[in-house]
Amino acid sequence: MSLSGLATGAAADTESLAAIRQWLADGRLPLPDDFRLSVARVPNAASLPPSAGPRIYETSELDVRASGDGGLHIWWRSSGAFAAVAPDRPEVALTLTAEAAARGVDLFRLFLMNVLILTLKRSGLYHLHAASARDPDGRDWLLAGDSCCGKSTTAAYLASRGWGVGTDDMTFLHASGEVCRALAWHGRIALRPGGQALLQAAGGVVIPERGKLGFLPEELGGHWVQTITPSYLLFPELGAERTWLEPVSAGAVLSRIVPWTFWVLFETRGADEYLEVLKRLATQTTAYRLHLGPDLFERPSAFAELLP
Amino acid sequence: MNTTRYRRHADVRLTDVGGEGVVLHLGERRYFSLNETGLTLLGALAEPRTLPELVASLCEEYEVTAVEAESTARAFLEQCLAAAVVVVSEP
Repeated sequence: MSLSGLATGAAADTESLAAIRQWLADGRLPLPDDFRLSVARVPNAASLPPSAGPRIYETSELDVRASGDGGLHIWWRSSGAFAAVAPDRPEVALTLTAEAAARGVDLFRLFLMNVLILTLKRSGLYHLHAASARDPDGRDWLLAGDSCCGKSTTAAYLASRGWGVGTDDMTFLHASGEVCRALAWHGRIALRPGGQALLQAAGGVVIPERGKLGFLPEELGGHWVQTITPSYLLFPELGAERTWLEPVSAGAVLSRIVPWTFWVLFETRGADEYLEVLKRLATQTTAYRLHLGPDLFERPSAFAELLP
Repeated sequence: MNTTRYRRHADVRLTDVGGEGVVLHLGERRYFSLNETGLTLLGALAEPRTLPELVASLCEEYEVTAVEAESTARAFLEQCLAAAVVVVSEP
């Protein structure tokens, strides 16, 4: 891994580089040996390259376009930042305006995490919006779904039952031999007030930008686990009268999981390889829809009674 | 429709497990789920095919009448053309 504050045609940004270095260290994700990142500073957004090239996708914050060489160009619209991702290796050159560099946690949450996701794809690490966990018997679980499906609350619940938890939403899938592994980005499990109340969780750290309270797995009675080999895949859903598991076929896993990773898929480069990783995941796991009901929190044994 | 040749769009990728699958249209940034029949048809459309050729592929694969197979293939083609998953193949 190499991090550099130097870039051609702009001033080095060693201050931002130090902050990014710390952010990557806190994330504890094993970065590939050939990962390269450089950071340059420009005075304002007018100094950034103009938006151009075929659009891959866009959000209110991001404009992602194909560069002519098979790489990606990514603009952070609201604060003025630009990333040039190399076509076939995990290498990215960042250009930050002073405004972007001053955005603090938003720089990481809204821009750099997305840049990192698209950069790591070049080395076969594919982002999936999922929580990861290891049960007391050593079996590994993924919980995939959107940010309001009960994924984080379930991850916190599992930690409180002594499970290992890797992440509540930032998982990177990776093909290792014939199996699919899942690597966790280390961070706090972010609970909304409702989840905190259900778990009767005390302590935690305020995450103001998300309006949530964050807990490390060990603060809830569990422990952190970085890499898992998923045997079970859950799709949590809120609103059931009682908690129960509904089997999902391996084939249906494919279409169920695509929404939680689709924006990584819609770049032509690497799409076939990533579909193969998803196929491995669908094949190696037993999948269920997890219908979450209030009994999960009323009876400590409720989830254990469901397990296969 | 009988002599026109169709093929999968170049931006389409698909994979399957156990007779169910998913189709990605990279250009349109959309995805679709597929049942076994759809997988058979879209698999055949990796090469340019006419409707009668698609009907024949269904009849070979499944115990269906030619009328049933044509109805299925025609409806599938219409859906895929509307979604740009399948395009008319230029001669």
